[in-house]
Amino acid sequence: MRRTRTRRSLTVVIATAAFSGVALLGPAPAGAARGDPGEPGEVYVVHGVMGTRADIQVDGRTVAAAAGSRRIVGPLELPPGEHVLTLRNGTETVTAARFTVPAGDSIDVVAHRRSDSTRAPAVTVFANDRSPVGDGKARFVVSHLAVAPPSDIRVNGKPVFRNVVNGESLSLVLPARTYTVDVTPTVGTGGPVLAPVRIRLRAGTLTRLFAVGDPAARSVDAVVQELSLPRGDPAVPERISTGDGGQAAPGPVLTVGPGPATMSLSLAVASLLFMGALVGGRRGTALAARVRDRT
Amino acid sequence: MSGPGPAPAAGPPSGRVAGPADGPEGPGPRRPFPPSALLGAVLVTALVWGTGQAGPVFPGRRAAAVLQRSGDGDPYRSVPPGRSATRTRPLAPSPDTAPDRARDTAVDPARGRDAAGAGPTSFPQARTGQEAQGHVAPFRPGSLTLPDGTRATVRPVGVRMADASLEIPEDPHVVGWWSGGAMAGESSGSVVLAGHVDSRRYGLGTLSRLNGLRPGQVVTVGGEGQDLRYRVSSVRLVRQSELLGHHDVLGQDGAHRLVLLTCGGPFDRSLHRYRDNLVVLARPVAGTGGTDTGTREPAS
Repeated sequence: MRRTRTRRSLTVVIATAAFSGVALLGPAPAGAARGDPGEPGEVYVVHGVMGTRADIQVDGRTVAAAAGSRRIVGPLELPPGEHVLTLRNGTETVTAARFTVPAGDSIDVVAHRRSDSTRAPAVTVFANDRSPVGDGKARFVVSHLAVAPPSDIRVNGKPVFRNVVNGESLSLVLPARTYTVDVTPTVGTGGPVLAPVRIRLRAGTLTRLFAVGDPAARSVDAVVQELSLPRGDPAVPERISTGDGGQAAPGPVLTVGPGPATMSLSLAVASLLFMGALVGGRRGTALAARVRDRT
Repeated sequence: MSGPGPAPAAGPPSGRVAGPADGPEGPGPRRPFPPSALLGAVLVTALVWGTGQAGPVFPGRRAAAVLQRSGDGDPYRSVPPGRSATRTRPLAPSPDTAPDRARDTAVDPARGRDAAGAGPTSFPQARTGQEAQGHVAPFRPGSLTLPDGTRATVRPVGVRMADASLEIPEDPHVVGWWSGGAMAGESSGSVVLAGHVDSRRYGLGTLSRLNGLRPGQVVTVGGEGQDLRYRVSSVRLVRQSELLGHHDVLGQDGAHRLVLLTCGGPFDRSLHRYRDNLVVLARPVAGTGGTDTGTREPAS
């Protein structure tokens, strides 16, 4: 009997690109919503229908001809609104679907096979979170798009999250270094969906891993996409000064702020102390003296 | 450009880089491209592009340096230099009409062939990829809820250049999130939320209540439609001048934690500041996210 599993090779397709013009033109505040409703969106098309060579068309225009699977095309800058992705092999349409481009945002449009019994190609859209991450970190998004049952996504051998179904992702922010990732069915004793692959996360990137393909056809593979993120501020605060009123300090305090609530509170405290000083002898006098010093 | 309008671009592809405005394409009869013509266009265009390119045409890190908006306005062309095929424009759309034509099936041979003239609604809607159900994706904190139900708005703050101090919202009822630190729900590092314990102008702040927190109590950080609960593990005073030495407070290594920070200890009346920081450490409540990826502590 033939061995049922062959050694899987990891093919990594890396599309490295700083987020295009939109993000680079102006020093927009990090993570701020880009306001212009007509601003183009940034679109990457991922060909994850394994073993199928296809012309990739957007709105009927070929953006990649005779593209092999695992190919990433982009970024395309498309006007916001509805568009159509078509993968065709000769005259045959492999899959076609409408997708919506959000103004000023970035998306991946991924063609892959469904995990149902039809195993038919379909299209899933993922939003790319291009907000900055902390210094020395990377955003890592693992998506289950394989023809496989609900699975655990494991990083360095430990399940990060269980029971992830086809079409779902795990978004993580991790220190930039090399990790081992695998995808294993949550239930059952079969082999992994995606055998362990090593992936290096570089600081300041959004790195995506799409697990695509069909274990039955031994075509599961990881398509990896790397997009650079705008840089955050690497500075670490040396001092955190969080109070200049003194109201929270032990002991009674008079405030000089303009707020009516604090004023009336201060007045109340002051009159209490004043009465205390009148009636109470030495202790009250001492307190009142302290209050005067602070004012 | 003389405004080519939505002329049917069904003539034989010119195989040139230039758009239709550069020369009459001949508004011939509308008919689909034979695949061979399409392929020809691809190859020819690729050749033309290839010769016009200095250096490699594969995408790579250097692509970032030459990134620009697709200056010729063709939205169907990859922005960074890509492999030749991504640069082809077999239908040669013009910049001004591309968006319209994208919606107009009548002038789109490929789509017309595909859907027999029907509108784009004849295609199924692509599925939207979701975060795994129950998993909390790292998010920027937008609110903090203390065990007694007190809620404060949280907004991102940075480090002041002048004195390397954290910018704290002036209003002590607003809490600052150090945007250089961890987001809520990361796998490691401190989420740092800091706010004024009090202010000469506004009086006591929301975080003056931190002094009453006890280990075991639960605080909730919300934001971007998600919630993450953290259980208080310690409450302590740290000298402000020694804050950096306490690696668990601002450090971004090690297990994920929430750090709530305000002022405490003796108040210096002349300098109008406190000697200490009150530091509350809290760990993610199991099952609410804060995924542990088994990342190792750094060797250093």
